Formats: sequence, structure tokens, C-alpha cells
Amino acid sequence: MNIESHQQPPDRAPLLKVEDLHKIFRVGDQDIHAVRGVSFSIHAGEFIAIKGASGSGKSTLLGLIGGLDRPSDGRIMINGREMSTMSAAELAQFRNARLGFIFQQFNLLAGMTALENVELPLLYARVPLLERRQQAMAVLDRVGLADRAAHRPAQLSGGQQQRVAVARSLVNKPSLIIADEPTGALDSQTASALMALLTDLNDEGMTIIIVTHDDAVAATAHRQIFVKDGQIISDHVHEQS
Amino acid sequence: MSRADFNRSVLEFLARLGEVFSAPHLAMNISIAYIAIQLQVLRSTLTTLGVIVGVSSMILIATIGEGAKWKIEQSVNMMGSNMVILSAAPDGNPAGGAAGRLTVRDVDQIATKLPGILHAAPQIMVYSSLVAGNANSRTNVVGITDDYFAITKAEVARGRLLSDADQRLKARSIVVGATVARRLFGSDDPVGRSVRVNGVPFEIVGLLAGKGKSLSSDPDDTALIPLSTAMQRMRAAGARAHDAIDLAFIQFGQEAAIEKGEEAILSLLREKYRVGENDIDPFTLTSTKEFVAQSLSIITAIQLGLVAIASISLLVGSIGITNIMLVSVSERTREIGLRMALGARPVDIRNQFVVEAALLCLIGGVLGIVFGSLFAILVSNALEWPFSVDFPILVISLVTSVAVGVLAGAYPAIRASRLTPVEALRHD
Ligand SMILES: Nc1ncnc2c1ncn2[C@@H]1O[C@H](COP(=O)(O)OP(=O)(O)OP(=O)(O)O)[C@@H](O)[C@H]1O
Ligand SMILES: [Mg+2]
Repeated sequence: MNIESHQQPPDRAPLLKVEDLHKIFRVGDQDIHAVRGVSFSIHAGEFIAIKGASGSGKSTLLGLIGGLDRPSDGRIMINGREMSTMSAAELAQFRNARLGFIFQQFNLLAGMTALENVELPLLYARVPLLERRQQAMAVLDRVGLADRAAHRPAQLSGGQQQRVAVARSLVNKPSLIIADEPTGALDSQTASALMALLTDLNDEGMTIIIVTHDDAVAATAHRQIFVKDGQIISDHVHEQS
Repeated sequence: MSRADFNRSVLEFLARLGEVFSAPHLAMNISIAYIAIQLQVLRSTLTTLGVIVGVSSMILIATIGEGAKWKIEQSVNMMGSNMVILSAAPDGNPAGGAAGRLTVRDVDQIATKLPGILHAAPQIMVYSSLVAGNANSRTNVVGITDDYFAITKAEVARGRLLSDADQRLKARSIVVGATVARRLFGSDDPVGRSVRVNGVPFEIVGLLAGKGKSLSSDPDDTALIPLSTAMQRMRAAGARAHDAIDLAFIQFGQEAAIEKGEEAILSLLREKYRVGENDIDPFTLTSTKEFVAQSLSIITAIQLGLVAIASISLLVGSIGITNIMLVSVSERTREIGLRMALGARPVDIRNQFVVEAALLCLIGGVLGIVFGSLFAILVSNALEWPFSVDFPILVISLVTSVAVGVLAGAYPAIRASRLTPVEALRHD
């Protein structure tokens, strides 16, 4: 196995530290070992792409990092806290305060306007209505969709919907954005526009971890992790000019 | 309105509701997009039907109960308050009468010997045929004295009441009720006209003021003649005494005096007619209290029936709501997953669905109040009762609706809250 080890700056504590992570699904009498012994760290400000074949365990790994699922074994330390010690409610509050999610299928609620969709995380953070409106409007403006605030998802293009989803992931000022194939449902032009937006956010200091099949998309990231059969087979930083 | 009639009306009402709400089925053929929305509305309406019927029944229970009590009070006041009715029918056998005994002298004795009595009104009641020209009316003609007017506070709409002179002269004067007047003369003024009562010609001297409908009989289907005239001309053949009467109203000064008075009347009459310990009284004593108690028990029975309908409807309704909420939770699994990813705690998800179920039921409750009130207005109008809905019953109805929603929504909501975010997000 050819593992190109990424040398971490020793002076900074990692934002996220994964140690010997395992996830086993039981289907009938069969065990599916989707993640088998993954360890790595992420530092604040990084932009990481996770690549790998279909079924290699990328989404499963992302779900574990995002606290959407529990590992079968191993540890995830985030902001110095061990995730497995948190209750379901604590995890929810943690996701709400620290993480932003972007999905392949956008996952906007159809009955709500763009603005209301962006407000959702603030709703669960118990932010009062007026502040909610203001903050949501500010991030919608940041992704260039202030004029579409009152539109419903069905009235927006795919690219616009994904921008609304990006705004939603930003609105709680998270320390990490987790995106599972965010460009998977977009054409290449819209995809590169979205990646440009994510790159801008990363330049402003946002830590981003993204799963993708697309080499062009992966190339945007500073660090690329390859996953195969539930294991990391390569992890390298490519130098930016 | 009999109980059978009432039940039939309720069933008709339900059947009609069913028709109204099945109408949106037609929309299915119109457009696919339309279906989803329309089905939601139809589904929600159907699910809340149980709550609608339940709350409607609750409103009916309250309004019918209130209306009926008002009606009973009114009919008691119409007959005369603080009153007992003495009738010449053997006790426990009101249909008989052959062995019954009661005379004007008995009533006079009661009035003079016993304390606390305000008025005593002896009466003869003969079911008679009244004929004027081609028209006729089969009506209870009542022979009465002045005391009758004092107790019942009967008044004329036109003409006059029976006078002392009518009594003294055994005059063939008659005062008729509105129903009798309408049957005999249509809308013409009956006063001054003549009418044959079982073949005897009488002159109509007055038209009684209308009293409206009562629970059972029509109080305006009546005619009054002097007792003296009735004793002379209408007394049934084979009467035991020349002054035999059919019944007497005896009114006391205060309600408190009635119970003692009843005992005093019974012992006076039993002594007079030498009624032994084991004999049946040849007369019957009924107080308006008993009448009220009897009527109230009928109303309570109707109310209990409605309570049963309300409970069953709410139970069925809550099962329907549980069902629809389970469907809703499964349809919106992805939404639940998303909300959890964005920071919704299990408790937030649970509350969301409980509130949704409660809201659904609250809407059902409001509709139930509307339908129940409309139905209660129809019933009240038909029976000429006043219609009123008390504020507390509205509050109780709405609180009950919300409670049904919370209970029915609890299980689906808890199931939703137990989903894990990843699984829920992968659902489609
Ligand atoms: N809930 C589950 N139950 C059973 N098996 C599962 C479950 N989730 C994932 N798996 C299995 O785990 C393995 C990894 O799945 P995962 O979705 O993480 O792959 P992926 O790398 O994201 O693939 P893709 O690129 O197609 O999205 C697959 O074999 C998948 O079938
Ligand atoms: Mg995947």
C-alpha cells in the first residue's frame, strides 16, 4: 500500500482527529465492513477531498465524522471532544453549532422559501425570529441569492438550490462544512461555479471536507484522501501556487 | 322529538357529511399534480372527521341539555309553579278511572282545611268533537273555575276569559286555543262565532294567547268552558257523584310546603274514602317535581347517547389520526433526517409531530363546533327552544380536541424521534 503521509504542523491541535474508525453494517446474517480502521486528522482551514470508487465507504465515513451515525469501533475527537460520549440530543446540538452539511440532492424542504430553508439551523439554535431573518438573509446574499429569498426550491435551478444549501450550511458559522458529492447533481459549468464558491469560503478560513467522484472537483481541494474498501490508501497535500 | 327521530336525524347528518367529503375524489381524474394536494386535504379532513363528529356531539349534548331544561322549566311554569296534580285515576293505573274518585267537595275541603294552599282548581276534561260549519277539531275540552286562570296565568289574545257570570249561569261560553281556532276558522277571528261541542252549541268568547310547542303535546290544542257547565252537560254517564271531577291543580304558596302538603292531602283523602293500608288509592297525586324528574331523566338518556357517540367518534378519530401521522412520518423520513442533521434533537422532532397532530385535531374541533352549533340551531328552531352555546363548553371542546391530537400523535411522533439521522437521510 502506498500511503503518502501528510505531515501535520506540530504546533496546532487538529480540529478533527479520527482514530482506528470502524463501521460494520449487519444485513441479514452478513456483516458489511464499510469502514475498516481509518485514522486521520484535519486542521482548521483545510480543504479536503475524499475520493474513491462507489461503495468504498466514503459516505459512511462522512456520516460518522458528521455525527449522523455511530461508529462500530474507534474514536472521533472534534474540537477536543469525544463524539461517542455524546447523547443523541448533545450530538444534535453539536451538529447544529459546529457542522454544516451539503448533500448531493440539496435536501431543501419543498414547502418553504429559500430564506426559510436557510433559517432552519438557526431555528434549532433557538435564535429569535428577527435575528434569524437577518442572518439568513446575510448568507443568502453571500452566495448571491438575496433576490431569490422568497422563492421556493421548485422555482430555483439546481445550481441555485445548491447555493441555498451552501448558505444553509454556513448560517450557523460552523467550524467544519461536510459535503457529500455536492456537485453530483449539477452540470460541469454549475459545478465549477459551486466549487469556486467553496474555494472562496475556504480562502476566508472555512474548513471544508468534500466527497467527490469528479477529478476536476477533487483538484480544487488542497488535500486529497483516497479511500478503497473502507480504508485510506493515499492521503496527500498538493501544493498550491 | 322522539329518541328514534333524533337518532335518525343524527344518522342522516352523518350520511350527508360523508357525501360532502367524498366529493374531492372526483378531482383525482383532473390532474396528477392536483391529486397530491387534494389528497392531503381530503386525507386531513377524513382523519379529523371523528373529531368533528365527536365535538359536534359534545356541542349538541350541551345545547340540547340546556334547551330541554329551559323547556321543562317553562312548561312547569306554564302549568303553574309549586303545584301538585290530583287526578281521579287509581294510583298506578292512570289509564283506568272506573274506580277513580274525586269531587269538587274534596277539593274544597283540601283548600279550606289544609294550610299553605294558594289555589285549588277542580277540572273536568272531556275529549270532544268541536264542529263549526264543515270544520271540526278533536280536542280536550276542560271545565274549569277561576282558580285555573290564577294558577296557569292563562291569558286571552282576543275576547275575554270565562267570567263569574259564566260560572253562575252555567253559560255555554267557550275559550279556545290557537290550534283549535285555526282548525275551525283558519285565520278568521273566532271570537263571537259559535261552535258545537259534542253537539251542544257554545259561543266562543275568547282566544287563548299561544304558548308554543311543548316536548310532547300541543298546549294550544285546548278549549276551556265553565266547570258548572261541564258538570251539567258533559259529565260522563255513570259518574259516582254529581260533582265528580277528573282532576284538580293544587298550588302551594311556597315550594317548601309541597312535600308536607302532599302528605296532608293524601291522608285527608284516604281517611275520607276509607282507604286501607293495602288498598290502592282511588286517586293519584303527581307533583310537578316528579314531572321535572321524569323529563330530566329522558334528557339525561339522550345526553348519554350523545356522550357515547362523542366518545366513540373521538376514539375512532384518534385511531385515524395515529394512522395518518404514521403515514406522514414515513413520507417525511428524509425531511426528519435533514432536520436532525441541521440540529433538531429527538425531542424537537417529537414535538413537531405532536403539534401537527394537535393542530389537525384543533381544526377538526373548530369544524365540530361549527357543525354542532348549526345542527343545534336546527334542533332548537324545530322545537322552538332558545339556542345558546356556553363559553365553557367551547373551551372544553377545544381542549378535548387538542388532547386527542396529542395522545393520537404521541406514538408516531416518538417513532419519528427515534430514527437515526443517516438512515432517515438515505430514505426515499
Ligand atoms: N445502512 C446500511 N446498511 C447496510 N449496508 C450499508 C449501509 N450503508 C452503507 N452500506 C454499505 O457500505 C458500503 C459503503 O457504502 P457508502 O454509501 O459509504 O459508499 P460510497 O463510497 O459513499 O459510495 P457512492 O460513491 O456510491 O456514494 C457499501 O457496500 C454499502 O452497500
Ligand atoms: Mg456516497
